[in-house]
Amino acid sequence: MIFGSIKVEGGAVVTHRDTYDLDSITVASVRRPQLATAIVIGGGLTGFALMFSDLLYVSEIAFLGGVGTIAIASGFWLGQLKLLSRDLRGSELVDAIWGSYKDLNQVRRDLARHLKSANRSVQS
Amino acid sequence: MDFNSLPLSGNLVLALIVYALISVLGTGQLVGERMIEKSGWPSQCQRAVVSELRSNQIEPAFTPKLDCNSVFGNLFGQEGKQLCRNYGNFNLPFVDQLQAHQEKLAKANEDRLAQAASKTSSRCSCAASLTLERRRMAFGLHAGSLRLMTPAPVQNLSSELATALHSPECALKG
Repeated sequence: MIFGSIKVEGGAVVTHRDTYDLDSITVASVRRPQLATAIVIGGGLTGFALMFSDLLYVSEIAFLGGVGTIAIASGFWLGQLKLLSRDLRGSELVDAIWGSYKDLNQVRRDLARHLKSANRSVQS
Repeated sequence: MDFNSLPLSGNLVLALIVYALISVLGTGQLVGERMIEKSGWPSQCQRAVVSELRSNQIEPAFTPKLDCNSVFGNLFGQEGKQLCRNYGNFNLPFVDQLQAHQEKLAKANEDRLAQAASKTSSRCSCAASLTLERRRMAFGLHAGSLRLMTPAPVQNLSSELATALHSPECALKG
Protein backbone atom coordinates (compact mmCIF):
# COMPACT_ATOMS: atom_id res chain seq x y z
CA MET A 1 0.00 0.00 0.00
CA ILE A 2 1.37 3.36 -1.04
CA PHE A 3 -0.20 6.73 -0.25
CA GLY A 4 -0.16 8.48 -3.61
CA SER A 5 1.60 6.90 -6.58
CA ILE A 6 5.03 6.30 -8.05
CA LYS A 7 5.94 4.77 -11.40
CA VAL A 8 8.74 4.80 -13.94
CA GLU A 9 7.67 6.11 -17.34
CA GLY A 10 10.33 6.19 -20.00
CA GLY A 11 13.29 8.02 -18.57
CA ALA A 12 11.34 9.66 -15.74
CA VAL A 13 10.05 8.78 -12.27
CA VAL A 14 6.53 10.12 -11.85
CA THR A 15 5.11 10.48 -8.39
CA HIS A 16 1.66 11.89 -7.57
CA ARG A 17 3.31 15.26 -7.03
CA ASP A 18 6.55 15.50 -9.03
CA THR A 19 8.33 14.09 -12.03
CA TYR A 20 12.06 13.35 -11.87
CA ASP A 21 14.48 12.73 -14.66
CA LEU A 22 15.73 9.19 -13.95
CA ASP A 23 19.33 10.24 -14.64
CA SER A 24 19.21 12.96 -12.00
CA ILE A 25 18.22 10.64 -9.12
CA THR A 26 21.25 9.86 -7.01
CA VAL A 27 19.72 8.20 -3.97
CA ALA A 28 16.43 6.37 -3.36
CA SER A 29 16.08 5.57 0.29
CA VAL A 30 13.38 3.85 2.38
CA ARG A 31 13.17 4.41 6.12
CA ARG A 32 10.78 3.82 8.99
CA PRO A 33 10.69 7.36 10.38
CA GLN A 34 8.07 6.71 13.08
CA LEU A 35 9.59 3.50 14.43
CA ALA A 36 11.28 5.15 17.42
CA THR A 37 8.10 7.00 18.39
CA ALA A 38 6.03 3.84 18.00
CA ILE A 39 8.41 1.73 20.11
CA VAL A 40 8.68 4.31 22.90
CA ILE A 41 4.94 5.05 23.15
CA GLY A 42 3.58 1.63 22.19
CA GLY A 43 6.15 -0.20 24.31
CA GLY A 44 5.56 2.19 27.17
CA LEU A 45 1.78 1.69 27.14
CA THR A 46 2.04 -2.09 26.81
CA GLY A 47 4.67 -2.22 29.56
CA PHE A 48 2.48 -0.03 31.75
CA ALA A 49 -0.49 -2.39 31.26
CA LEU A 50 1.66 -5.40 32.19
CA MET A 51 3.54 -3.89 35.13
CA PHE A 52 0.47 -2.29 36.71
CA SER A 53 -1.97 -5.12 35.94
CA ASP A 54 -2.75 -5.42 39.66
CA LEU A 55 -4.15 -1.87 39.68
CA LEU A 56 -5.95 -1.88 36.32
CA TYR A 57 -9.27 -3.34 35.21
CA VAL A 58 -9.16 -6.09 32.58
CA SER A 59 -10.77 -3.77 29.99
CA GLU A 60 -8.07 -1.15 30.62
CA ILE A 61 -5.28 -3.73 30.28
CA ALA A 62 -6.82 -4.95 27.01
CA PHE A 63 -7.22 -1.40 25.69
CA LEU A 64 -3.66 -0.32 26.58
CA GLY A 65 -2.18 -3.57 25.28
CA GLY A 66 -4.15 -3.23 22.04
CA VAL A 67 -3.18 0.41 21.49
CA GLY A 68 0.47 -0.38 22.28
CA THR A 69 0.59 -3.36 19.93
CA ILE A 70 -1.11 -1.40 17.12
CA ALA A 71 1.34 1.49 17.64
CA ILE A 72 4.39 -0.80 17.43
CA ALA A 73 2.99 -2.68 14.42
CA SER A 74 2.25 0.65 12.67
CA GLY A 75 5.79 1.83 13.36
CA PHE A 76 7.20 -1.25 11.63
CA TRP A 77 4.65 -1.10 8.81
CA LEU A 78 4.91 2.59 7.93
CA GLY A 79 7.71 3.54 5.61
CA GLN A 80 8.92 6.60 3.72
CA LEU A 81 10.64 6.62 0.35
CA LYS A 82 12.84 9.60 -0.34
CA LEU A 83 14.14 10.41 -3.77
CA LEU A 84 17.24 12.55 -3.61
CA SER A 85 18.62 14.31 -6.62
CA ARG A 86 22.02 15.91 -6.85
CA ASP A 87 20.48 18.75 -8.84
CA LEU A 88 17.85 19.40 -6.16
CA ARG A 89 20.12 19.32 -3.12
CA GLY A 90 18.82 21.74 -0.50
CA SER A 91 15.64 22.29 -2.47
CA GLU A 92 12.13 21.68 -1.13
CA LEU A 93 11.47 19.46 -4.13
CA VAL A 94 13.00 16.39 -2.49
CA ASP A 95 9.99 14.08 -2.60
CA ALA A 96 8.88 11.79 0.20
CA ILE A 97 6.32 9.10 -0.44
CA TRP A 98 4.63 7.36 2.46
CA GLY A 99 3.21 3.87 2.53
CA SER A 100 3.93 0.33 3.60
CA TYR A 101 7.64 -0.24 4.19
CA LYS A 102 7.54 -3.52 2.25
CA ASP A 103 5.90 -1.99 -0.86
CA LEU A 104 8.14 1.08 -0.81
CA ASN A 105 11.21 -1.13 -0.53
CA GLN A 106 10.01 -3.04 -3.60
CA VAL A 107 9.60 0.27 -5.46
CA ARG A 108 13.14 1.23 -4.41
CA ARG A 109 14.51 -2.06 -5.80
CA ASP A 110 12.63 -1.56 -9.09
CA LEU A 111 13.96 1.96 -9.28
CA ALA A 112 17.51 0.71 -8.71
CA ARG A 113 17.06 -1.78 -11.58
CA HIS A 114 15.85 1.02 -13.86
CA LEU A 115 18.74 3.24 -12.80
CA LYS A 116 21.25 0.44 -13.55
CA SER A 117 19.80 -0.30 -16.96
CA ALA A 118 19.69 3.43 -17.75
CA ASN A 119 23.38 3.75 -16.79
CA ARG A 120 24.30 0.70 -18.89
CA SER A 121 22.57 2.10 -21.96
CA VAL A 122 24.39 5.43 -21.47
CA GLN A 123 27.79 3.68 -21.18
CA SER A 124 27.25 1.50 -24.27
CA MET B 1 14.71 -6.06 11.19
CA ASP B 2 15.83 -2.63 10.15
CA PHE B 3 17.03 -1.07 13.40
CA ASN B 4 19.47 1.07 11.44
CA SER B 5 16.52 3.18 10.43
CA LEU B 6 15.97 4.22 14.06
CA PRO B 7 16.59 7.93 14.01
CA LEU B 8 18.34 9.19 17.13
CA SER B 9 17.36 12.76 16.53
CA GLY B 10 14.17 14.78 16.74
CA ASN B 11 11.71 11.92 16.46
CA LEU B 12 13.13 10.01 19.41
CA VAL B 13 13.35 13.12 21.58
CA LEU B 14 9.77 14.03 20.65
CA ALA B 15 8.59 10.51 21.46
CA LEU B 16 10.27 10.65 24.87
CA ILE B 17 8.67 14.02 25.60
CA VAL B 18 5.23 12.68 24.59
CA TYR B 19 5.77 9.58 26.77
CA ALA B 20 6.80 11.75 29.73
CA LEU B 21 3.68 13.89 29.29
CA ILE B 22 1.44 10.80 29.11
CA SER B 23 3.09 9.54 32.32
CA VAL B 24 2.79 12.80 34.25
CA LEU B 25 -0.71 13.80 33.10
CA GLY B 26 -2.37 10.42 32.55
CA THR B 27 -0.94 7.14 33.72
CA GLY B 28 0.76 8.57 36.83
CA GLN B 29 -2.49 10.07 38.10
CA LEU B 30 -4.35 6.83 37.36
CA VAL B 31 -1.76 4.79 39.26
CA GLY B 32 -1.91 7.21 42.21
CA GLU B 33 -5.70 7.05 42.31
CA ARG B 34 -5.74 3.25 42.24
CA MET B 35 -2.97 2.98 44.86
CA ILE B 36 -4.98 5.20 47.21
CA GLU B 37 -8.11 3.11 46.61
CA LYS B 38 -6.22 -0.15 47.11
CA SER B 39 -4.60 1.04 50.35
CA GLY B 40 -8.08 1.35 51.88
CA TRP B 41 -7.51 5.04 52.56
CA PRO B 42 -11.14 6.23 52.04
CA SER B 43 -12.54 4.07 54.86
CA GLN B 44 -9.48 4.55 57.10
CA CYS B 45 -9.73 8.29 56.62
CA GLN B 46 -13.45 8.41 57.44
CA ARG B 47 -12.89 6.46 60.66
CA ALA B 48 -9.96 8.71 61.62
CA VAL B 49 -11.89 11.92 60.94
CA VAL B 50 -14.94 10.76 62.93
CA SER B 51 -12.80 9.73 65.92
CA GLU B 52 -10.96 13.04 65.66
CA LEU B 53 -14.29 14.88 65.73
CA ARG B 54 -15.43 12.86 68.76
CA SER B 55 -12.22 13.57 70.66
CA ASN B 56 -12.63 17.27 69.93
CA GLN B 57 -16.17 17.31 71.36
CA ILE B 58 -16.64 19.17 74.64
CA GLU B 59 -18.07 16.90 77.31
CA PRO B 60 -21.42 18.21 78.60
CA ALA B 61 -21.13 19.80 82.02
CA PHE B 62 -21.94 17.51 84.95
CA THR B 63 -25.29 18.23 86.55
CA PRO B 64 -25.73 16.61 89.96
CA LYS B 65 -29.03 15.03 90.82
CA LEU B 66 -30.93 17.71 92.67
CA ASP B 67 -34.13 16.11 93.92
CA CYS B 68 -35.51 15.99 97.46
CA ASN B 69 -33.91 12.64 98.43
CA SER B 70 -30.43 13.51 97.17
CA VAL B 71 -30.42 16.93 98.87
CA PHE B 72 -32.38 16.49 102.11
CA GLY B 73 -31.52 12.81 102.46
CA ASN B 74 -27.81 13.61 102.36
CA LEU B 75 -28.12 16.66 104.60
CA PHE B 76 -30.54 15.38 107.28
CA GLY B 77 -30.33 11.61 106.98
CA GLN B 78 -33.49 9.62 107.86
CA GLU B 79 -35.45 12.75 108.78
CA GLY B 80 -34.75 14.29 105.42
CA LYS B 81 -35.78 11.07 103.63
CA GLN B 82 -38.96 10.95 105.71
CA LEU B 83 -39.75 14.48 104.60
CA CYS B 84 -39.36 13.42 100.98
CA ARG B 85 -41.59 10.40 101.49
CA ASN B 86 -44.27 12.70 102.94
CA TYR B 87 -44.10 15.39 100.27
CA GLY B 88 -42.90 13.34 97.29
CA ASN B 89 -39.47 13.24 95.73
CA PHE B 90 -39.78 16.68 94.11
CA ASN B 91 -37.05 18.38 92.14
CA LEU B 92 -35.55 21.59 93.42
CA PRO B 93 -36.61 24.78 91.63
CA PHE B 94 -34.88 25.45 88.24
CA VAL B 95 -33.44 21.91 88.09
CA ASP B 96 -35.90 20.89 85.35
CA GLN B 97 -34.92 23.91 83.32
CA LEU B 98 -31.23 23.20 83.89
CA GLN B 99 -31.63 19.56 82.82
CA ALA B 100 -33.65 20.54 79.73
CA HIS B 101 -30.92 22.99 78.81
CA GLN B 102 -28.23 20.34 79.26
CA GLU B 103 -30.18 17.87 77.13
CA LYS B 104 -30.62 20.50 74.43
CA LEU B 105 -26.87 21.17 74.42
CA ALA B 106 -26.03 17.47 74.24
CA LYS B 107 -28.48 16.96 71.36
CA ALA B 108 -27.03 19.95 69.47
CA ASN B 109 -23.57 18.49 70.03
CA GLU B 110 -24.66 15.10 68.66
CA ASP B 111 -26.31 16.75 65.65
CA ARG B 112 -23.17 18.72 64.93
CA LEU B 113 -21.08 15.55 65.14
CA ALA B 114 -23.45 13.65 62.81
CA GLN B 115 -23.41 16.50 60.31
CA ALA B 116 -19.62 16.75 60.40
CA ALA B 117 -19.29 12.97 60.06
CA SER B 118 -21.52 12.98 56.97
CA LYS B 119 -19.13 15.39 55.32
CA THR B 120 -15.94 13.45 56.05
CA SER B 121 -15.93 11.93 52.56
CA SER B 122 -15.39 15.34 50.96
CA ARG B 123 -12.46 16.00 53.31
CA CYS B 124 -10.98 12.58 52.55
CA SER B 125 -11.34 12.97 48.79
CA CYS B 126 -9.79 16.45 49.11
CA ALA B 127 -6.75 14.86 50.78
CA ALA B 128 -6.49 12.27 47.99
CA SER B 129 -6.71 14.82 45.16
CA LEU B 130 -4.34 17.22 46.91
CA THR B 131 -1.74 14.44 47.26
CA LEU B 132 -2.14 13.49 43.59
CA GLU B 133 -1.78 17.12 42.55
CA ARG B 134 1.22 17.88 44.81
CA ARG B 135 3.04 14.66 43.94
CA ARG B 136 2.20 14.60 40.23
CA MET B 137 5.86 14.23 39.19
CA ALA B 138 6.54 11.43 41.67
CA PHE B 139 3.54 9.41 40.46
CA GLY B 140 4.46 10.18 36.84
CA LEU B 141 8.00 8.88 37.43
CA HIS B 142 6.68 5.75 39.13
CA ALA B 143 4.27 5.02 36.26
CA GLY B 144 6.64 6.09 33.47
CA SER B 145 9.52 3.98 34.79
CA LEU B 146 7.16 0.97 34.99
CA ARG B 147 7.78 0.59 38.76
CA LEU B 148 11.57 0.66 38.40
CA MET B 149 11.59 3.87 40.43
CA THR B 150 9.49 4.45 43.52
CA PRO B 151 10.02 7.99 44.79
CA ALA B 152 9.66 8.65 48.53
CA PRO B 153 6.18 10.26 48.31
CA VAL B 154 4.85 7.16 46.54
CA GLN B 155 6.50 4.85 49.06
CA ASN B 156 5.15 6.83 52.04
CA LEU B 157 1.72 7.35 50.56
CA SER B 158 -0.20 7.10 53.84
CA SER B 159 1.86 9.81 55.52
CA GLU B 160 1.44 12.01 52.43
CA LEU B 161 -2.32 11.53 52.65
CA ALA B 162 -2.37 12.27 56.38
CA THR B 163 -0.38 15.47 55.80
CA ALA B 164 -2.79 16.51 53.05
CA LEU B 165 -5.78 15.74 55.30
CA HIS B 166 -4.51 18.17 57.94
CA SER B 167 -3.43 20.82 55.44
CA PRO B 168 -5.43 24.07 55.47
CA GLU B 169 -6.87 23.29 52.02
CA CYS B 170 -8.63 20.16 53.31
CA ALA B 171 -9.02 20.91 57.03
CA LEU B 172 -11.63 23.54 56.17
CA LYS B 173 -13.69 21.13 54.05
CA GLY B 174 -16.97 19.94 55.47
